[in-house]
Amino acid sequence: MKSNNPSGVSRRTLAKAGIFGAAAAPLLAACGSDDNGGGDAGDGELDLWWWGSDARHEYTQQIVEAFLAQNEGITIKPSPADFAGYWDALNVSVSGNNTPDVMQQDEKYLRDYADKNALLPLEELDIDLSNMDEGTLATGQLDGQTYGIPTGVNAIALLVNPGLVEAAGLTIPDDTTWTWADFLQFTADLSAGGDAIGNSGVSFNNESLFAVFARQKGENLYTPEGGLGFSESTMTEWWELVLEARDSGATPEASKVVEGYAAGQDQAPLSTGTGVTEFYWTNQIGGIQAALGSDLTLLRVPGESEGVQPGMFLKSAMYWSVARTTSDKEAAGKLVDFLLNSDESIDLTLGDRGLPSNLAQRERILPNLPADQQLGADFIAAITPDLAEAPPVPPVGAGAVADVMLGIYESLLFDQITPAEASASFIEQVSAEIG
Amino acid sequence: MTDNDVAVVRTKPRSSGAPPEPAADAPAPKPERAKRGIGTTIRSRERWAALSFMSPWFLGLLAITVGPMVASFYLSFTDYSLGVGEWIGTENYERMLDDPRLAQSVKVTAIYTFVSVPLQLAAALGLALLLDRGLRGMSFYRSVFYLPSLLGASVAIAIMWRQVFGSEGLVNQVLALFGIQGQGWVSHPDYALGTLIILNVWTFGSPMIIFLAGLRQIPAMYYEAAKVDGAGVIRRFVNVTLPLLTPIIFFNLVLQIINSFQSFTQAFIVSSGKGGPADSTLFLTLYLYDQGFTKFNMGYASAIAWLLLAIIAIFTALNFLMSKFWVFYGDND
Amino acid sequence: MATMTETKAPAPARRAQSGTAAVGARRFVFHLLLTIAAMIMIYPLLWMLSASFKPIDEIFSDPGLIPSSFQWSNYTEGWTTLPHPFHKYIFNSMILVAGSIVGNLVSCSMAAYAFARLRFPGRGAFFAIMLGTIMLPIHVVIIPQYILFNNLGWVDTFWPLIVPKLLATDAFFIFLMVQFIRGLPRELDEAASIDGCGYWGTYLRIIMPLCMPALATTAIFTFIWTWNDFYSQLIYLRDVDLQTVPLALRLFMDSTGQTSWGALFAMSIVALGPIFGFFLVGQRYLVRGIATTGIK
Repeated sequence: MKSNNPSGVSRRTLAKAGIFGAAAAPLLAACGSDDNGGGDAGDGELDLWWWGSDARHEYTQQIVEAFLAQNEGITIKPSPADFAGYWDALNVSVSGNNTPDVMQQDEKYLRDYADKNALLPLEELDIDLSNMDEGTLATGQLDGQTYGIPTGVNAIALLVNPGLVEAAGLTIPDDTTWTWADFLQFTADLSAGGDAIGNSGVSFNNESLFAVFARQKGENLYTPEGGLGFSESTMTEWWELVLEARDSGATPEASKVVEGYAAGQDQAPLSTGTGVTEFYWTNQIGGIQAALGSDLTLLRVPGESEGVQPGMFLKSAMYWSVARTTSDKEAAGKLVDFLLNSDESIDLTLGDRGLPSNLAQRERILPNLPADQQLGADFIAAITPDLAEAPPVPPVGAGAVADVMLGIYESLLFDQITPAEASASFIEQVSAEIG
Repeated sequence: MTDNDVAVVRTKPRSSGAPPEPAADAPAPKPERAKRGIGTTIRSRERWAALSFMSPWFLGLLAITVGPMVASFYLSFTDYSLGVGEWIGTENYERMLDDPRLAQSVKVTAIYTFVSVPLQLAAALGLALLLDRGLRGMSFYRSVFYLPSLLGASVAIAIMWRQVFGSEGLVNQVLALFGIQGQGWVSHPDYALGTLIILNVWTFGSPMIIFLAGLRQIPAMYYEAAKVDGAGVIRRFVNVTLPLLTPIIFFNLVLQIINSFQSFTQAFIVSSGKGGPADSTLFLTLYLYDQGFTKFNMGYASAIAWLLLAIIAIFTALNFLMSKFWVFYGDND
Repeated sequence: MATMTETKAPAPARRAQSGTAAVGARRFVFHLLLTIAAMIMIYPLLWMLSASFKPIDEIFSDPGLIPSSFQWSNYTEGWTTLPHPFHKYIFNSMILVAGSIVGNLVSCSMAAYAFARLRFPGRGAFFAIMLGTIMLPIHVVIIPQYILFNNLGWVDTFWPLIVPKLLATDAFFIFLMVQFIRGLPRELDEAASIDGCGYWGTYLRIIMPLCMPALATTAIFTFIWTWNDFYSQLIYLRDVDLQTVPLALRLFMDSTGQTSWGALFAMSIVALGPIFGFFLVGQRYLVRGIATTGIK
């Protein structure tokens, strides 16, 4: 579960977090200087919430400092968190009418929170969207209103440890033509030929990866109307593939897979050199390479040329959203604008929140990206011409799908249910969640 | 002091679960009669004093206990979530009938309770019998056996358990010494619940202490008499110890069943809050937390809470009903 | 550890001590059995203590108790890994513990005094209700309580965890103290009343001083339960600034995965330390509390 979240990396927050808000005294200095009407002047106190890795916590603090330096009279209380804890905490805050003024959002939850009336339509704020890619922007819009502005885009990729491939006496296959059967063969050969496991098996419960599989068959995970967009047989085929991988030794025994998630991304087999391949989002590469200590190669998801259309897609990595109840709309708008559009912010963020959705900024930083993010950027550039139409925004309740899929995946791995039962159960449970 | 304590243990089973005006009034009558003549002013002053002494408790009862209970019952008929909710009748309860995860969580909780409680009590009784022989160093042993039940509820112990039963954990390291290749116990749905059951059994210390107090209470003359009749160790145990201990066994049983139905922390920590793998450690309380505090289906979660309460109440009542057939209260009244 | 006092030698003891060779052998076997059982029971704890000093690879390979080298770094790393240094979490837990102890001592003893000594209408019924609330699962009331405290704006403060203690909701301690006060001779109250003590005077000057053992039991249990409590803290304390030791441990485990078991164990040991300390010092009270009331 953890390894598949778009934020990626495990959390080890910096000690500084939280001290900040207290540091800048709420003197209410320049607040009135460019007051744009509204009438209700805010209090200039903002809660800023995000999830992510240590590195993200650190640079986001620096962005906040830069913002505060330019905006006297605003104070910010930052709350960094890990992905799972983040949603727990956010749920609580929203229910208590304490929605943080500015928060990171995820595609899976955006509609949930918008429906709960927790999010402010961002048209009300003064945020410069002129450099945003239209298609990307649309992924944060529901019923014509913008509830989240994408920070950047990601793609799912198969990360491969080239050293281990070589050690197993194999060569990296041509990813533009390879099929799922090729993938199974390749990973089984990797397991057989070396000490590391071919694929660590911690991504088959990732609904986005399944979405790619379904899209290759001309289907989708969800319909634009908010229903399920794939056929039961497609999913059964998916679960059969999973079992084939397990039985051929391409992936490890079931309890090892379960331990794989529990370990978190930094200790997952790919990161420790005990696994050769795994599917991750492109913005996770940096963390994994850092944990592994060597470079990875990115391959396309198998089967892109096998089906009726390529299944891969660009996903908005995450969004910035504003609370409907924010105590200071103007300040919140300024902060989001700064996070998305300022040189200071983008110079620090680079590709960590996805390849920036601000196209001008994307252009500007492309040459400056560190090697690991360059890898992701090149990969995205390479696949972009081949992509089919983007998938629709997930329906309300989509946030619960990951847990459902994980539970079913586990039951399947331990032979408690058959692939057909797994599909039926998934469809039943998910229908209940999103219904 | 000790005498007094133990006496309490013996009368407790009847006064705790179903308290029909318990011993509360027992010591009172005499002075009351003595003072009655003095008149009503003293009595009313006493009442006012009682009210003032009781006021925090009264307030707590209303605001923290009874009020929320009533509210919870009401909520269970609504779809309350995040500040808004409407009356939906019995929909939540109907939904339960058709909720596979709820069924799974009831099953998991039941297995946990009905496997771990008997094992725990057996261990507690066994050790209490051994310790009751008055061996030297007995208090040291008692301390050692008691310690886990103090620590057992903490997050730190759950974390330890997760490592101890992990694939490279202590258990497998020890098994490896005997050439046995273990597996990840907490990450396998067939064994994960087992590790939690072992954890519960591990905390047998407090029922053991209660058994010890009860054993201490059995008059030596019963044993002497049995000995004169030629009864061996086993006969003495079966004919003297066990019957006289049944009230304590019963009391421990009721208490531990109620406790295990409410277990939360250990399963939550060991499964990272998910109740996995494959929902094999999804306790009812975990599912309630998931529904109420992560999905914020507070109406449905309230209904689950009442299911939990009903289950606990039914088993406690069953316990009391069955106790007539095996609990021996003797003639100590 | 041998702080337990055995005031009276129980009858079975005398029997066992009249020794012959056969009895001696049997006693040896019992000791052996008990020692083995005790070893199995505490081995995981001792092992965790030793693992908290071990280098990481040894934790996963050495079931023994002696580290090859002592790594204090597990403790220093664990102390600083989380958003706050670990003493911040200890401090937060201490605030809760202190508030809870004060709350329970004051409110429960007041109610207990009334139940044990004062006559008022409905006493029996209230006593029964009080006993009933001991058994009431927290899960049944937690959601409305949460909604209530949320509406008061108390979520993410310590109030939802302390205020109930001030209102004597830990009925277990009322019961404990009622039992204790009933054991005190009534003549004391009457003498006090003749000396002109009112009810409050009697409560404060006579009953409370004599109740010290029960108060100590209450304080120690409250300490341990509050220190160990996870569920309600998980629900009410989300703010990183307010998090307590159990929440910090959970955060630690979820966030670092298996990267730093040594540091995680080290902080677990730190978390268990105070309980162990109270266990050593207050064992007598604990055992008596359990024997009196039969809970945990």
